[in-house]
Amino acid sequence: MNKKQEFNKFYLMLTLLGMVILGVVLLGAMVILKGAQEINTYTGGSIIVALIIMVFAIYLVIKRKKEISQGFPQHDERSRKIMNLAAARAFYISIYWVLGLMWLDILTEKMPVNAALGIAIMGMALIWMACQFYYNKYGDKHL
Amino acid sequence: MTNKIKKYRQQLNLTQEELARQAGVRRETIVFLEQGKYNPSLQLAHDVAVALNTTIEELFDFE
Repeated sequence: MNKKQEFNKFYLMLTLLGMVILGVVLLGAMVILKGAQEINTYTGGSIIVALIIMVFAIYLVIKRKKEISQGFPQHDERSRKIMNLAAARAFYISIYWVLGLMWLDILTEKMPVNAALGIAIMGMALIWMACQFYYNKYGDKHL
Repeated sequence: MTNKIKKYRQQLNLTQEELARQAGVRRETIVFLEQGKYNPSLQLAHDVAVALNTTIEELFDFE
Protein backbone atom coordinates (compact mmCIF):
# COMPACT_ATOMS: atom_id res chain seq x y z
CA MET A 1 0.00 0.00 0.00
CA ASN A 2 1.52 3.36 -1.04
CA LYS A 3 1.51 6.62 0.95
CA LYS A 4 -1.56 8.04 -0.83
CA GLN A 5 -3.59 4.90 -0.12
CA GLU A 6 -2.47 4.94 3.53
CA PHE A 7 -3.50 8.58 3.80
CA ASN A 8 -6.90 7.83 2.22
CA LYS A 9 -7.44 4.90 4.62
CA PHE A 10 -6.49 7.06 7.62
CA TYR A 11 -8.77 9.85 6.40
CA LEU A 12 -11.68 7.43 5.99
CA MET A 13 -11.17 5.93 9.45
CA LEU A 14 -11.07 9.44 10.90
CA THR A 15 -14.33 10.30 9.09
CA LEU A 16 -15.96 7.11 10.38
CA LEU A 17 -14.87 7.80 13.95
CA GLY A 18 -16.01 11.42 13.66
CA MET A 19 -19.44 10.40 12.42
CA VAL A 20 -19.96 7.89 15.20
CA ILE A 21 -18.86 10.36 17.90
CA LEU A 22 -20.98 13.16 16.40
CA GLY A 23 -24.01 10.87 16.21
CA VAL A 24 -23.65 9.72 19.81
CA VAL A 25 -23.08 13.29 21.09
CA LEU A 26 -26.05 14.74 19.17
CA LEU A 27 -28.39 11.94 20.18
CA GLY A 28 -27.25 12.14 23.81
CA ALA A 29 -27.59 15.93 23.87
CA MET A 30 -31.10 15.72 22.40
CA VAL A 31 -32.26 13.21 25.00
CA ILE A 32 -30.62 15.10 27.90
CA LEU A 33 -31.83 18.56 26.85
CA LYS A 34 -35.37 17.62 25.87
CA GLY A 35 -35.93 14.71 28.21
CA ALA A 36 -36.73 11.28 26.84
CA GLN A 37 -40.50 11.68 27.50
CA GLU A 38 -40.68 14.95 25.49
CA ILE A 39 -39.46 13.40 22.26
CA ASN A 40 -42.39 13.97 19.86
CA THR A 41 -43.12 12.75 16.32
CA TYR A 42 -40.87 15.35 14.68
CA THR A 43 -37.93 14.61 16.98
CA GLY A 44 -38.47 10.86 16.80
CA GLY A 45 -38.75 11.00 13.01
CA SER A 46 -35.65 13.14 12.69
CA ILE A 47 -33.69 10.71 14.87
CA ILE A 48 -34.72 7.82 12.61
CA VAL A 49 -33.81 9.71 9.42
CA ALA A 50 -30.50 10.83 10.96
CA LEU A 51 -29.73 7.22 11.89
CA ILE A 52 -30.54 6.04 8.34
CA ILE A 53 -28.21 8.69 6.91
CA MET A 54 -25.49 7.77 9.40
CA VAL A 55 -25.76 4.04 8.69
CA PHE A 56 -25.58 4.74 4.94
CA ALA A 57 -22.54 6.99 5.43
CA ILE A 58 -20.80 4.41 7.63
CA TYR A 59 -21.52 1.71 5.02
CA LEU A 60 -19.98 3.90 2.31
CA VAL A 61 -16.90 4.65 4.41
CA ILE A 62 -16.34 0.95 5.19
CA LYS A 63 -16.84 0.03 1.49
CA ARG A 64 -14.33 2.70 0.41
CA LYS A 65 -11.82 1.57 3.06
CA LYS A 66 -12.04 -1.99 1.75
CA GLU A 67 -11.56 -0.82 -1.84
CA ILE A 68 -8.53 1.28 -0.92
CA SER A 69 -7.02 -1.70 0.91
CA GLN A 70 -7.47 -3.75 -2.27
CA GLY A 71 -5.56 -1.14 -4.28
CA PHE A 72 -8.43 0.66 -6.02
CA PRO A 73 -8.58 4.47 -6.09
CA GLN A 74 -11.09 6.24 -3.85
CA HIS A 75 -12.43 8.15 -6.88
CA ASP A 76 -11.93 7.85 -10.60
CA GLU A 77 -13.16 9.66 -13.70
CA ARG A 78 -16.60 8.00 -13.73
CA SER A 79 -17.26 8.23 -9.98
CA ARG A 80 -16.40 11.97 -10.02
CA LYS A 81 -18.79 12.58 -12.91
CA ILE A 82 -21.53 10.56 -11.20
CA MET A 83 -20.99 12.46 -7.93
CA ASN A 84 -21.22 15.84 -9.70
CA LEU A 85 -24.33 14.78 -11.62
CA ALA A 86 -26.02 13.42 -8.47
CA ALA A 87 -25.19 16.60 -6.53
CA ALA A 88 -26.56 18.83 -9.31
CA ARG A 89 -29.81 16.85 -9.62
CA ALA A 90 -30.20 16.60 -5.83
CA PHE A 91 -29.90 20.38 -5.59
CA TYR A 92 -32.57 20.83 -8.28
CA ILE A 93 -34.97 18.37 -6.60
CA SER A 94 -34.27 19.88 -3.18
CA ILE A 95 -35.55 23.25 -4.34
CA TYR A 96 -38.98 21.68 -4.99
CA TRP A 97 -38.75 19.71 -1.72
CA VAL A 98 -38.20 22.90 0.30
CA LEU A 99 -40.88 24.76 -1.68
CA GLY A 100 -43.31 21.91 -0.97
CA LEU A 101 -42.48 22.06 2.71
CA MET A 102 -43.02 25.81 2.70
CA TRP A 103 -46.50 25.38 1.21
CA LEU A 104 -47.30 22.62 3.69
CA ASP A 105 -46.25 24.93 6.48
CA ILE A 106 -48.41 27.75 5.11
CA LEU A 107 -51.40 25.41 4.82
CA THR A 108 -51.10 23.69 8.19
CA GLU A 109 -49.35 26.38 10.29
CA LYS A 110 -48.43 23.62 12.71
CA MET A 111 -44.78 23.04 11.98
CA PRO A 112 -42.28 24.46 14.47
CA VAL A 113 -39.32 26.26 12.89
CA ASN A 114 -36.70 23.81 14.18
CA ALA A 115 -38.74 20.85 12.94
CA ALA A 116 -39.21 22.44 9.51
CA LEU A 117 -35.47 23.12 9.26
CA GLY A 118 -34.62 19.60 10.36
CA ILE A 119 -37.04 18.00 7.90
CA ALA A 120 -35.78 20.21 5.07
CA ILE A 121 -32.10 19.42 5.70
CA MET A 122 -32.62 15.71 6.30
CA GLY A 123 -34.88 15.47 3.28
CA MET A 124 -32.14 17.07 1.19
CA ALA A 125 -29.64 14.55 2.53
CA LEU A 126 -31.99 11.68 1.65
CA ILE A 127 -32.56 13.11 -1.84
CA TRP A 128 -28.79 13.32 -2.35
CA MET A 129 -28.39 9.71 -1.19
CA ALA A 130 -31.14 8.53 -3.54
CA CYS A 131 -29.65 10.49 -6.48
CA GLN A 132 -26.19 9.08 -5.76
CA PHE A 133 -27.59 5.53 -5.73
CA TYR A 134 -29.75 6.02 -8.85
CA TYR A 135 -27.09 7.69 -10.99
CA ASN A 136 -24.45 5.18 -9.91
CA LYS A 137 -26.68 2.41 -11.28
CA TYR A 138 -28.40 4.05 -14.25
CA GLY A 139 -26.69 7.41 -14.73
CA ASP A 140 -24.20 6.59 -17.46
CA LYS A 141 -26.54 7.63 -20.26
CA HIS A 142 -26.69 11.10 -18.68
CA LEU A 143 -22.89 11.59 -18.60
CA MET B 1 -19.45 3.63 -29.69
CA THR B 2 -18.60 -0.05 -29.11
CA ASN B 3 -15.48 -1.59 -27.67
CA LYS B 4 -13.59 -4.86 -27.44
CA ILE B 5 -12.38 -4.50 -23.86
CA LYS B 6 -13.93 -7.77 -22.68
CA LYS B 7 -12.44 -9.72 -25.60
CA TYR B 8 -8.92 -8.33 -25.02
CA ARG B 9 -9.21 -8.78 -21.26
CA GLN B 10 -10.21 -12.42 -21.64
CA GLN B 11 -7.37 -13.00 -24.12
CA LEU B 12 -4.94 -11.81 -21.44
CA ASN B 13 -6.70 -13.86 -18.74
CA LEU B 14 -7.31 -10.76 -16.66
CA THR B 15 -10.22 -10.28 -14.27
CA GLN B 16 -12.15 -7.01 -14.20
CA GLU B 17 -10.51 -6.21 -10.87
CA GLU B 18 -7.02 -6.76 -12.22
CA LEU B 19 -7.70 -4.60 -15.26
CA ALA B 20 -9.18 -1.89 -13.03
CA ARG B 21 -6.07 -1.91 -10.85
CA GLN B 22 -3.78 -1.70 -13.88
CA ALA B 23 -5.78 1.14 -15.43
CA GLY B 24 -6.06 2.94 -12.07
CA VAL B 25 -9.86 3.00 -11.91
CA ARG B 26 -12.63 1.45 -9.81
CA ARG B 27 -14.03 -1.95 -10.78
CA GLU B 28 -17.48 -0.52 -11.61
CA THR B 29 -15.91 1.66 -14.29
CA ILE B 30 -14.58 -1.41 -16.10
CA VAL B 31 -17.98 -3.13 -15.76
CA PHE B 32 -19.81 -0.16 -17.30
CA LEU B 33 -17.12 0.26 -19.98
CA GLU B 34 -17.43 -3.38 -21.05
CA GLN B 35 -21.22 -3.07 -21.19
CA GLY B 36 -20.78 -0.04 -23.45
CA LYS B 37 -22.77 2.14 -21.06
CA TYR B 38 -19.96 4.54 -20.21
CA ASN B 39 -18.00 6.56 -22.77
CA PRO B 40 -14.49 7.09 -21.39
CA SER B 41 -12.33 10.18 -21.76
CA LEU B 42 -9.35 10.00 -24.10
CA GLN B 43 -7.05 9.60 -21.08
CA LEU B 44 -9.01 6.65 -19.69
CA ALA B 45 -9.30 5.04 -23.13
CA HIS B 46 -5.51 5.33 -23.41
CA ASP B 47 -4.93 3.88 -19.93
CA VAL B 48 -7.18 0.90 -20.64
CA ALA B 49 -5.56 0.34 -24.03
CA VAL B 50 -2.08 0.39 -22.45
CA ALA B 51 -3.23 -2.04 -19.73
CA LEU B 52 -4.47 -4.39 -22.47
CA ASN B 53 -1.31 -4.01 -24.60
CA THR B 54 -3.21 -2.54 -27.52
CA THR B 55 -4.17 0.79 -29.04
CA ILE B 56 -7.26 2.98 -28.69
CA GLU B 57 -8.10 2.51 -32.39
CA GLU B 58 -8.03 -1.25 -31.98
CA LEU B 59 -10.02 -1.25 -28.75
CA PHE B 60 -12.78 1.23 -29.61
CA ASP B 61 -15.03 1.33 -32.63
CA PHE B 62 -16.37 4.84 -33.32
CA GLU B 63 -18.91 3.95 -36.01
